[in-house]
Amino acid sequence: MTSRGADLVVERLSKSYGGQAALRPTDLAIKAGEFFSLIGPSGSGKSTLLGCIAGFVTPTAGRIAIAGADVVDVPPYRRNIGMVFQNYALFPHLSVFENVAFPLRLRKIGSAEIQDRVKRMLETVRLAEYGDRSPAQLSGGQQQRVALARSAVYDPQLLLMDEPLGALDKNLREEMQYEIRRFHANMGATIVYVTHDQDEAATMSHRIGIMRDGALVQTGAPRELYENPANAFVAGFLGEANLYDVRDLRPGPGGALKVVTVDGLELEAEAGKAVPAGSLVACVRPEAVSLAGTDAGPVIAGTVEDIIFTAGTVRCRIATPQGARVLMRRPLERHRQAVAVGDAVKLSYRPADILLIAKE
Amino acid sequence: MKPPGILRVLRPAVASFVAIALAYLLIPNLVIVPLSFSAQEYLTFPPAGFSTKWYARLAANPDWINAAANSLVIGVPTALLSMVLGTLAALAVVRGSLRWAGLAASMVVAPMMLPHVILAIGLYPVMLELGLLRSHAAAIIAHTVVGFPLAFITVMASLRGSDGKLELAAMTLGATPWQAFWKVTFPAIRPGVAVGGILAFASSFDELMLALFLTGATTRTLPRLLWEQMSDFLTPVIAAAATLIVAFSMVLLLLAVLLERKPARPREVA
Amino acid sequence: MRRTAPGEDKAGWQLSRRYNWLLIAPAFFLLVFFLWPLMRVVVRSFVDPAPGLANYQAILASPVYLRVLYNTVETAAVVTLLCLLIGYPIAYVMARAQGVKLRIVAALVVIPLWTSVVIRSYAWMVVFQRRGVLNEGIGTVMALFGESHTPIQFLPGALAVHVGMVHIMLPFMILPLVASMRNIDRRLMRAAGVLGADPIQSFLRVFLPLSLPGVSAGSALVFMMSLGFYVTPALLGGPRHMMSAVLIEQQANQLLNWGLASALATLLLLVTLAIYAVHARISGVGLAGAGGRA
Repeated sequence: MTSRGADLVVERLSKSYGGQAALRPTDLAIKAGEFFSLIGPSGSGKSTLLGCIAGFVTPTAGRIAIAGADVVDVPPYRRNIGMVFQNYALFPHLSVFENVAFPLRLRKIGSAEIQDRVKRMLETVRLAEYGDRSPAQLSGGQQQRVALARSAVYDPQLLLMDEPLGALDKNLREEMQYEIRRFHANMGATIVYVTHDQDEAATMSHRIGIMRDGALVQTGAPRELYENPANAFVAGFLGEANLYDVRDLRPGPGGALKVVTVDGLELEAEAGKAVPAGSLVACVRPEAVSLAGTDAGPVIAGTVEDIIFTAGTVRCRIATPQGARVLMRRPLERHRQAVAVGDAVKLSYRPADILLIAKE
Repeated sequence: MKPPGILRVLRPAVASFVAIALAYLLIPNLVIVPLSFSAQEYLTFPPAGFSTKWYARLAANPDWINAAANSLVIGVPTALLSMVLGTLAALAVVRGSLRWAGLAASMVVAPMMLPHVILAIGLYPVMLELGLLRSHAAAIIAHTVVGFPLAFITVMASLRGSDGKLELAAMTLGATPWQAFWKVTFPAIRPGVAVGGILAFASSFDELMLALFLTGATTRTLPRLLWEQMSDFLTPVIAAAATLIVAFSMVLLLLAVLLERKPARPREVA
Repeated sequence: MRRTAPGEDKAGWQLSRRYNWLLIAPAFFLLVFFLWPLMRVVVRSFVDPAPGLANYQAILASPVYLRVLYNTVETAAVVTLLCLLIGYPIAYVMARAQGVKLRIVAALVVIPLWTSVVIRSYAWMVVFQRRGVLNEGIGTVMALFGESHTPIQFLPGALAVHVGMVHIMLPFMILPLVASMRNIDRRLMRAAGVLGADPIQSFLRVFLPLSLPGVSAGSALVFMMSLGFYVTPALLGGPRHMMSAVLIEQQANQLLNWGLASALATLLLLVTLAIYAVHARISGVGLAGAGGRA
């Protein structure tokens, strides 16, 4: 039952409500079979974009094409898309079986075939025994699996998911992430997945689009976004980052680039890399700094201000004499000498890990 | 801090006050039923002797039968019309994007609150001009004006309790808006619609003022006949009629309660 | 950046515009059979039998009519107050009750609501008449002490009217009260307790203020509905305790004095609207909301 997914093209798509832009002109191309996530804070326009693709929102301008066909004027029920909602949106008056059968009955499919397809679909989501139950009798994770089955039973080429795991607790969310990935691998449909959880997006997607203020800020593979964020917002939104407003750039020793930050920090960066125009921000990922060993190189001196342990990871916040804060993250290794709050430390880093990115 | 001793007095005091108040609510029903089985001609209490003769006399009087028939002929269309109008209004107010939804809701509820006598003297000339005065239709229309707000309120409550996204979900699954409404939204609000209809029927069944102005000798309703009989002669026949009406209302009430209680049962799998 | 709560930014997802059109039929119905008749009443009060303020002058010049208007407002106020005093404890118990207890209390509150107003007023007549339940009861008790009892004449009288009207309006007070009390988070009371309030203090300082929206909704509802009462005052009140609706019905239906009836009705309408306005001002919400939750 593998159906090839459809490609999705969005061109200059925009939506405004009474002069206020909910979505600024946006271009996006998603390949057939791709798992694409949209992330961003609430109000960033990701729901508006998803709503336009689903047909719930009439765009002010622009074009949407699913598998090459323009769908802007096509109502949701003729777009042949599937959708999974955050609160599952299961029909409470229908059994699990009838929920999954719903789209097939609308398509006037024979009852023998419906029996067959619904059964197989429920097996796929491991709910074969639950057909007779009412949705209210199922747990959150089970309900979301029913929603998944219902959205896919008619083989839509494009599946939209609106924060499908938002209502689940952490452990269940991770289990369901795996479930959805497996599901995607089986079905082959193109998936547009909206979430506000960057880890979830990074775990699941081929590519991620980050939205802010009604605009798509950057799209790319998770690693690409992490290593080469387009601006400070992306760097801060996807993972943790030390971000410093840059005051000055000047040539440093040995052909390096010296970066002076607004709060007085002096960093060394690799010269020769392209630097964006406008206000700059220096970005250092917390795992790129470490306690200085014997080897020479650029260092940041400071005092340990705070230490936070989480499972497998230690985070230290170091205050420099100038008043800047540096977050350092390293794996928790037993039998290694621990630092304590108040210790004077020196942090080392590789100049290649100092990213100079646009502030906006 | 106040001494806890006050509470030891206050709790039973409140409890007994509530018990007395609740008993007070039951008095009329407790008075009428025994009275209707009284053996005496005039009105006394406690009634002396047991007799069903008032019921026999009730059954023998065609006026009561006619009035009961009129109440049904007026009440049932009132209920149906109220269900339709109330549901339409509730859908527009809850699911629509009206700028003045709050005002619209207040307008719909207003007829229920305003003294019926104002509406009655206003509708009288209107019905006269339409040639509907003293017809069943006049009473049906008037009772719908004051009855459909009840349906509006119950449907509105059940719409608020149902998830608006279900219709969107149905549409992504291939349902047209029409199908989405009938297959998804309507099943969710059906109990509210039914209870609203029962409430509208009950309000019509009990309405006096509009009936006094708008019905005639051949279309008069039960409350109007009760009223006329009460002004003329007080006999336990009225209590007998009242007992039957109360019994009928209790059946309606039970129906409404059962409908509201009914959990959303999933359809059986074929 | 648009400031939106999670989920709120999905408001644009409602395919809502087509639902707006559904209001047309109810709106048309109300326009023709509610607003238009009301307008006719107001207009008629100024033009029947001759254009001018004659009808209002007649009302103002007559102590009888003024007395009826005053009596209407006074009775409505007394009934509202009594309903609040009696209804609040019942609502309090009902809001806390669960299971069988809740069902019994709810049934006792709702059953009268479903009993015909005409019939209930008739029942109160049986209770209050000269040889009615009340007089017989008092007589029986007095006889135990060897005293004789001359039947008290309760009818027609204010006591009977109040008892009968409170009985009819009580559920309309209790239901909005229960609705608002059920919305009060019980943990707030526990929090007040932790902070050192004894049960009476936490009731007075936390529960009571939070239940005020229900008090406002219930009082407005009872007051407005009491203003238009017909059956109970006509049956139990007699001419000395006449209320506006009885007078209006008399003037229009029996004396065919439609101009005066319309003027009285217009005044009644104004008072009702004034009370609604006060309620809306205080609570900031319409009665529709309170009714919806009840």
